[in-house]
Amino acid sequence: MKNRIKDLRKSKKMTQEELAIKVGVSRQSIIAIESGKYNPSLELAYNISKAFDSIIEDVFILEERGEE
Amino acid sequence: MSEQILGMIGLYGGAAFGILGWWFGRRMAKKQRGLDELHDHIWQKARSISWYFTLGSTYVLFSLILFGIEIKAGMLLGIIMLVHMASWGIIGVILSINMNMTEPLKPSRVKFGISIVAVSLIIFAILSITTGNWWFLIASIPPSTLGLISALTPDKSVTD
Repeated sequence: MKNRIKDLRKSKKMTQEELAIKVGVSRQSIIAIESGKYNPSLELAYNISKAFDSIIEDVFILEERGEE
Repeated sequence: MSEQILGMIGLYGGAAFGILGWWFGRRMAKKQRGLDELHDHIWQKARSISWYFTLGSTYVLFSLILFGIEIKAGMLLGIIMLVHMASWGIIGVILSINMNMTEPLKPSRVKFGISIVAVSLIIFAILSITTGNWWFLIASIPPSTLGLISALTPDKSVTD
């Protein structure tokens, strides 16, 4: 699953640490999600999207073949 | 008798220090919001993978008994416990480092590194048991270190 967290974060001038504090996880989690190494739970994905005033579909992009 | 006392100190003292370390570690991590779902994911995955190592070591130990090598129950349980705890910890650290790195780890290199660690530990553990000389286990440190370095070297050819 791809995501636009890095772009959205930069457009909002937000650091990884600030986003991490906002959604209540560690910076390590934001790094892992941003780089696509970890797919967050639905609850965390919702909270991240909410931090950017967006909906989940605008932040996370499910590839056609799904998760591999 | 003195062996029994040393054993008790090792068993209960080790457990007490282990629990204290675990508790302080969690306390420190909590302050940095470290006890999140990624933390749970990493350590659950590490624990599930470590069972494969435990299974492998049980199989090797069973084979040793089958070939006529006499091993005391305490030694047997100690080896199985060591393999389980060490593989759980090492895999957890590797997964944590991998999640924190901007450059990904190369899966084939991770598998190769872990295999070197496992094979060297098994070979030197067998040598230690068969010869009765526990210093052989120390000889497994250099290959294990090389294996870990190999596993934790990122794949620099991958670019975004």
